[in-house]
Amino acid sequence: MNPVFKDEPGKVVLMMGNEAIARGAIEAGVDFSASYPGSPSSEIQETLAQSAKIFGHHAEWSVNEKVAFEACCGASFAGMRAITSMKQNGINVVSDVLNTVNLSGIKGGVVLVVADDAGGYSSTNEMDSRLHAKLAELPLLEPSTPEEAKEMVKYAFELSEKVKLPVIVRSVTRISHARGDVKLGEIPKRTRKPAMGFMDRFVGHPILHPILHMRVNQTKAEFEKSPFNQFVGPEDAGTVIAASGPSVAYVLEALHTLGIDDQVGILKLGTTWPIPEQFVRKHLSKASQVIVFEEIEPFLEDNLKVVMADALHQGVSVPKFFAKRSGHIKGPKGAGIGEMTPDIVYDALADILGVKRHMRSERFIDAEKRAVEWKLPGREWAFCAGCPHRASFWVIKNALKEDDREGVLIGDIGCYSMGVSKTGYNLSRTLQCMGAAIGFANGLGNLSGFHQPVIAIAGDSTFYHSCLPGLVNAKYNNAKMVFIVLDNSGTAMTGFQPHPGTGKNAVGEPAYVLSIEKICEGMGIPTQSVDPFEFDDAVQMLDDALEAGEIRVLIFRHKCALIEGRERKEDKPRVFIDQEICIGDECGCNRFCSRVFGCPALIWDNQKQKATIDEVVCTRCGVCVKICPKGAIKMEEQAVPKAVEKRKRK
Amino acid sequence: MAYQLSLHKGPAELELEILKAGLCTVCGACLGLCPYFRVRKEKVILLESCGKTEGRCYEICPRTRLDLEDLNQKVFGRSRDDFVLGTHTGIFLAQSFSKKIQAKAQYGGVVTGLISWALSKKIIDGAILVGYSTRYSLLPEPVLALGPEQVLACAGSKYTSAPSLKILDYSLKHCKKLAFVGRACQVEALRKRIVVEPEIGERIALIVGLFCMWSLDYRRISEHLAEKMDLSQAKKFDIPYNRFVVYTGRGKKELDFEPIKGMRRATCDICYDFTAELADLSVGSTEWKDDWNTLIVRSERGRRLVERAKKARALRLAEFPEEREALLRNASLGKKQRVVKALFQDKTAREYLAISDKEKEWIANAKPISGVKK
Repeated sequence: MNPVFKDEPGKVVLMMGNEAIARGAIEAGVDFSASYPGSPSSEIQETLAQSAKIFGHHAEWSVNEKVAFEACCGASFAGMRAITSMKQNGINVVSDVLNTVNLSGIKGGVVLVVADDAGGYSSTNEMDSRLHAKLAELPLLEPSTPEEAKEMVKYAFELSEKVKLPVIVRSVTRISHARGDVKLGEIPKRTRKPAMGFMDRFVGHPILHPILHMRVNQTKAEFEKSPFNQFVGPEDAGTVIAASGPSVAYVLEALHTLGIDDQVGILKLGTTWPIPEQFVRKHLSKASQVIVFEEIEPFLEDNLKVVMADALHQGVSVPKFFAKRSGHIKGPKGAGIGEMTPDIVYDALADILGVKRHMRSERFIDAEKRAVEWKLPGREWAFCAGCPHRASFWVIKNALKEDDREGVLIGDIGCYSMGVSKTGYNLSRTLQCMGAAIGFANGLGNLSGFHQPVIAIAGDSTFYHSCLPGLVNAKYNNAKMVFIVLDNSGTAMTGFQPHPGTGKNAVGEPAYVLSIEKICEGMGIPTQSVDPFEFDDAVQMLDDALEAGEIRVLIFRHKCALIEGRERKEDKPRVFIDQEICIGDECGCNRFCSRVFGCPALIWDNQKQKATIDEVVCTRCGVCVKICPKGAIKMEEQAVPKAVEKRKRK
Repeated sequence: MAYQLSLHKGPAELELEILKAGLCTVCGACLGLCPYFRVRKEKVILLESCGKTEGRCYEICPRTRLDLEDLNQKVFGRSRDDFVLGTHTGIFLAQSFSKKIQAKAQYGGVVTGLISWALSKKIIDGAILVGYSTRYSLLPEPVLALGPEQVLACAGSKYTSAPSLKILDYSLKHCKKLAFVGRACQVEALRKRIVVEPEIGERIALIVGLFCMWSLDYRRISEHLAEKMDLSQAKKFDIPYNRFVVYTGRGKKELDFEPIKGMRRATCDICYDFTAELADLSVGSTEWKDDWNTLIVRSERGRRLVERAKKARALRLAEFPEEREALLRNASLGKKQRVVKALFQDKTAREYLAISDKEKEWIANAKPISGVKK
């Protein structure tokens, strides 16, 4: 059994922050979980899906975050405890209902975990989700360690039921993906019986706004005595450092390294909205300067400043703030941008406090210098070897050129986001949020005087997530476009979670397959599917669709190379280049395969001045056999195991 | 491999000067060379430049520098001796002996008959011809015919620009004695290609040129027809003496020819070569007798082949009447004079045509033969 699920109270287990969050829900006796994947949050629901059979709670991958959250609310309306998790983009999708359910209130505890991808390593944006808590006036908790994350989630359910509001727990990459010691608590027996009584009514109405304010005040009072907020250090410290989230650990480390742990006060805040005013005022009123560390925007900083500005009327002096707005705390890209790091905290504290920096050892400096000199080669974004998206973009590139009307490709979110870069032949003109492409295409496709054909794309998972209204709109309002669904049979980018087209659900049971063809045909849209590896067919089909001058759906269907590789049991024939036939960079080719088509497995043999195949990378998909003008790329007739796989098997 | 290139330009210039300038004849010569060119519905595009500064694509295009005198020397071993009809040893009325071929083919069925016979006698082992697309109505599609059945399936003139040289390299992989049938621009491109790569010439046994005043733009004509009828029902169309007839599954339909005339390719208006002067044999209508063709015999190997076909009773030849030759000459001269005027006086088009000052002057001042009427 996964140690995360062990029923051994008191035992300390090393676990990932996202696992700790899931464990917190389990220790709260969660009844229902629903989510849409997105880095860095995905492992929360993956863990809950694993534990569903053990503890009997419901776990599902929903089509999108809004549906997931609404499903959680539904469970809550019948008195059950429910949790949803998402990345920062997800909470934007949820925000409509977030701003009505705050008025209606809930019954069973509802926890919304949002994991912010600070720095935007795997996102199209960088965004501080905490502002949603303020906007919707909902309680906000910010864990600073994996263990605290577990405790906070458990507490969030209690709080939610007490104040009858969903509670937001805000994680970040360095909490969600960090590992830490977590002390296991008790796992209660799930005893709740779902029911909706006659008086269980959940109506969002402005008339309820005063009730929301009452609940916010109730939460505030609760937070004043919360153990998640702590002050350490001398009570009369002139300098107080306020921090939330993983910044707390960075502050402790920096102070220790600088050797000034005992000279400053540390105000660690775990309940950051509504802000516990009295607690804050008590610890900041004696300070002459306050330094604030938090991740992304100056959210905590602003709220602390408001509290202290109000305190002026009580004869308290307002300390000087050193933080993001003053420009004292900033990363390489500026204040309020990117992740907080131990280095940023260390440098800022040394500068603000005028403390001599602790010099690093000669050995460290030397090793660092050597590591930099080593110069790892820069790598481009690239579709994997064998990725069907490369074939799809190749088809689109060819078709748009052949059509010759300067048609535009409107891109969307998924692995195929990389269509904006060289690996997708720089075709995608847009990259925004889930399902935005079809929306944008609705405008472009109905623009009088705009004669460039429009192609919108979406992946299979994105199709179910948020493309349906756009598609309905396009048909209804007669927007001219070709909508291509890049169906690679999974939610590849976030880790192959199942979706309504895969025939499996979150807990691995068989599920009804919602056919993309039938959905589109049901809308009255002419729909065809083709394997993008069949270049000629696919290009002609797309060209025909572009010429049709009305909405058409094409499904480019080919399984993700990684999924295919996992599922495949038998060997495949080796793909190789016959260098006798390859004409290299002569007129008639000029490295068409390695330079233009660009599969990472197609490489240039500098010695022979011919193309060659990197057999470790090659997935033997064979698509390149079709692009070689000379027929030099060949596939052997006999299937043989790959050298690397052979070793592994032994 | 080092190619004999003299123009020192590449795909970027070809795209700018020819493709984007609307001068492409859709001969297909560049399409088979490399993977960078694409064609759809008779429009050639450059997928992206291969990055080379010079290449065969520019060199062999029939609309880049075309030195007719030089090519004439290389093809026939002598100077241009007839500025109007090109080098030739004889002009005949000709027809196929086969009634089956005549029924299916255009006019006398000379091309179908000759190619079919040459294949059966193994004089050639394949022929690049043009059939119809199964996907798009009326769209001609290059075909490598390896037997008489395939040849017969390709019978009949097509009036849009099939890019049949697209399959040249593919065909050369399969054939050692290949025949090519095509328009004058295609014959020019093929001859230029052979200059660049002489070894290809050794594997091409016969080049048949078709008389061609102009060809229609497929995209425009198919759009026009789609407005007038159900395009999917159209099987083929003919242009007999300035009329326009579409054949459908249920009979034929005649359309006003005037608007259709305007759908010819602009590049055809600078074509100097009505009778495919660099071919081994040139074949066209007689504009007189529907069951006969005009056959111009140009090269020695062309002459020998016709001689053999005649003896084998594959082709029937008859004397070409003098007044018909006068009409043919007048038609060719008229076209040449229009082109010379456009290219050398108005300077509106590019100066691709490299003919001697002597020829230029002769053409400009020549008078049509008088006293003949259609």
